[in-house]
Amino acid sequence: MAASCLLLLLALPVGALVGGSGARGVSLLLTDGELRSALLLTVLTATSASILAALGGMPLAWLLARREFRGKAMFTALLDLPLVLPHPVAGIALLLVFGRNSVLGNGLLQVGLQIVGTPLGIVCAMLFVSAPLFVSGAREAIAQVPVRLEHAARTLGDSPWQVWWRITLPLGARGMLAASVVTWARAVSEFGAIVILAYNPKVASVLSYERFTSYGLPEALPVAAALALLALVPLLALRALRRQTIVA
Amino acid sequence: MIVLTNVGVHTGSFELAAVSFTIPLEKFGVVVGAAGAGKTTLLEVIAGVRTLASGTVTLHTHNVTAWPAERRSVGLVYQHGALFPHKSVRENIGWSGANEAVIAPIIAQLGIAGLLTTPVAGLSGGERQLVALARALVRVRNCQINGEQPVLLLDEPFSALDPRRKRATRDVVHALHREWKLTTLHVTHDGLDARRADIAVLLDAGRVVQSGSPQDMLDRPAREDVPLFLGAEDSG
Repeated sequence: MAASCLLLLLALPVGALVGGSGARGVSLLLTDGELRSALLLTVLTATSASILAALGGMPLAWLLARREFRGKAMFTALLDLPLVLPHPVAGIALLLVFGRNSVLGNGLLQVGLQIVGTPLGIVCAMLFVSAPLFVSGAREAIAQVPVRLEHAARTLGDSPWQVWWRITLPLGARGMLAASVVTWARAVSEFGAIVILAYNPKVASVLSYERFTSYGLPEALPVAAALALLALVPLLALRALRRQTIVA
Repeated sequence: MIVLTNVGVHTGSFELAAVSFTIPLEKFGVVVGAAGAGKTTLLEVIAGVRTLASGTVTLHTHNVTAWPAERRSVGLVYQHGALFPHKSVRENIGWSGANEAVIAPIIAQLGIAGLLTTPVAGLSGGERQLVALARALVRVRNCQINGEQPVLLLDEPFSALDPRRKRATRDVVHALHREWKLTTLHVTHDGLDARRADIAVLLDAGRVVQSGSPQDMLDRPAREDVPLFLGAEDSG
């Protein structure tokens, strides 16, 4: 009974959104240039944030999976903190660091890098809220690679880098890819931090919100439905990955 | 030659404490002891994949305590093989970069030519041990060809083999040990393996109870259970 209620709670809103306005959302893609731009910007910034999360997150994930050090619990908690911060708070925190009145923000402006109100700001906001998911997922993936295989490779003459490329990465790749998909999905869905750090140019979530507040529900629905359909892509990819893992 | 001097290792609640012994050049040593005595950890210390809390490890004339594993010229066989599951049997055996002239005779001697195309996941426990042994033998032979003096470390490498295969494989290992003039250290629970060695080391709870030639240890045991670990009862 409880499970049925939960299932209804999860399925009904998305079903109503996609079922009621999905077709119109897809057809709007042909005529609504602003929606197309917002979706394209969402995909590009989320992909950039996911790539950066993977590049920076992999060494951290390895460190957490393979090394013991003083303060590890605190370090892990700090890494996970963005996951539990209310999203507008995350945006405010980023604004404090990258705003034009901050030392770093001003310094970056001097070298021609503007964060606030640019796609770079969107990537920063997405990275802040989604990177901990990559680190956590990749850490699990690395931890599941038996350390004895890495030891065996070392005794066979592999350097630590060779062990990473020849053993850890290939054996943990599926888990890391799954972590990347989750990271991308989280980045696509971000709103609170982006709206504070970079309201413009608009990503799909911000566009949906703006149309709702400016024109009401009928105008917001197709945009929201298109965003929901976009969010389905990584989730389906994740399912396919898990199915392959089980078969393998 | 393998020389351990006051080696200490801490791993969780287990520790190796002040472990010292010598396996002379070109000798065949065995490590015996109850499960959990630290035998595998000891091999990993020599191989360089465990960090020492204290002491030194010397291989031949080199103090290798600070050397990384890949520089130590060791061939290590783990009990369950530790084969790389994403690679073929052939790729596992040739992992250390040896050419076919090195690999082929070892495959032939161990009688595993028929396994080369079998997926690693499809190997039995005994077949895994044979492939792991081939991989380590290829490594030590390759080191010798490159002018290095390797040591062979075996962690119960025959435990999953049937009796006939076990005897044949044991003979191959001893023959190669003599022919290649290797220094070998073999962790075993098998009394026959223990008594066949030049030097035996009895380990208990991370400490060396006694070391020396198996016959000396049987004649003058430091503890009453020493003959038991050397398989004195097996010999009748």
